[in-house]
Amino acid sequence: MKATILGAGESDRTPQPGRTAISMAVESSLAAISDAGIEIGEIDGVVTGYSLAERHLDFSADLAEALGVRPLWSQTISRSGATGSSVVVDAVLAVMGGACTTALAVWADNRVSGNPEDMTGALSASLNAFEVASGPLITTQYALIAHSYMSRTGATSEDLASVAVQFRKHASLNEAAKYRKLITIDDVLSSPMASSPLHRLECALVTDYGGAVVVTRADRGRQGAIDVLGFGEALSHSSILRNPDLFSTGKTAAGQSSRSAFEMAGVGPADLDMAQIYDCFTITVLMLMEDFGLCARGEAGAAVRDGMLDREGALPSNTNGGLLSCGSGGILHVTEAVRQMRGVAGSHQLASRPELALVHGNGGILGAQTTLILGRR
Amino acid sequence: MNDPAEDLWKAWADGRLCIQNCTNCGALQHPPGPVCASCHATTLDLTDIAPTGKLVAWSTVHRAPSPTFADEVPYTIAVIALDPTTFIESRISPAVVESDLRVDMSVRLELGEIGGRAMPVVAGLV
Repeated sequence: MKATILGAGESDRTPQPGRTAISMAVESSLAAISDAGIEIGEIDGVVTGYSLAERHLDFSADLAEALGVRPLWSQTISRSGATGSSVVVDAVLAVMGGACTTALAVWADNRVSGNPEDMTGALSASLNAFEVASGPLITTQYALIAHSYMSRTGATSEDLASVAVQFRKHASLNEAAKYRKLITIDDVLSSPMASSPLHRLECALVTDYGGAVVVTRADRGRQGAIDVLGFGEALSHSSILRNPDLFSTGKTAAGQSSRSAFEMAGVGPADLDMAQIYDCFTITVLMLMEDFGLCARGEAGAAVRDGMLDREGALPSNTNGGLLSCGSGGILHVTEAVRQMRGVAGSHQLASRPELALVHGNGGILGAQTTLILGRR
Repeated sequence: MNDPAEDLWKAWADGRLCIQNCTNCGALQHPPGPVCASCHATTLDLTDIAPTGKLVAWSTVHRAPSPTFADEVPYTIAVIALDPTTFIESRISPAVVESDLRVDMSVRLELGEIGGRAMPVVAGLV
């Protein structure tokens, strides 16, 4: 038995004084429940991500209580950036395993409104102590991997920048994206260097966010529901120093997670007609594309420059503008996929509603990987 | 059980250029941990290492992650291979000219002080 997604919702992401993570979790949950066409009382499972800005003993308990439900199954998970895709995996497992029938999978955080401190610095301090000691940013860890990728494959800074340019083009059509002004490769390369070779415009935004989907048993789905045809997770490391592959082949555990998901769904990369790929940095997208088998090793940059990921291209990807131009939170990759497949993406709806999509979350420094394969019924 | 991280920090502070090793399978391991990731033995110790490594990748940081390093930007951080599967992350001495750096080149390690802590740094090229 498989599981199906009945609806998706997002909160407003405009920062406001006093805006809480729970309020955005509630707003996105109510939107997802409404989109699903069910009653709040039908929710008997709740899984949420964690908040960096707001302290909760158990985020899922506080959300369930705010929604006035007493679920049969609930949990709060932390899988770093992969959390947005992994809350869906966990909801699917709970539904398939019989722990509950209809689960909310939610991730929200008030990373701007709730956190006047230096989030970038605070996150960097959570790396391994033997990494923190020399003073890297999270960005530096990705930059080291990017440097290795570029020296090994001959990929250029222009190749990496093309990812940011592509997703900004998509954001320009999305009324809810934070940055909508078109940019060029030169704009990316002339933005301040964050940690070489990565420039500021190659780094994910930090915004408030909330996103939710309603997951239920496939037999309760209906025409237009989005089936979770496959899923896979894999974890290779916490510290990049413990995974030599990052600096030799450039392979990540996304190869394993996507293989698991494709096999379960009985499809391959060539069958996809949309992808939502975790884009915390430009390099992340190129390496993940190669792990998924969308192109050969070292050729992702050329593929992006040739328009593969464009909304008019072979595999429209990050159609909302992604983490690079739309907003924070890997849950938005999930909600965007569902909205495009349901044909309710509004101003940036693809001309042809996708039928088979890949959604991918990446956590830590390319360590935790989660792949979903979604199909429109 | 001793904290393997504290053991290594202390050895470095005492002036010993060393890294964690597994006395069962011989693998080096960094960052140190309570279990050998190669053979899963818990028989871990510290072993002296040659003061050289191979440069794997580097990045110059332009914005400090914390006040500790604010006065030092920009600085260059590198991944250095002690053997094909054992990597450390550290600073490249400002005395080394970045345009001289090449991937896979041999570098000279010595114990230096970064942010008030003793650790191996890239002191020069070999």
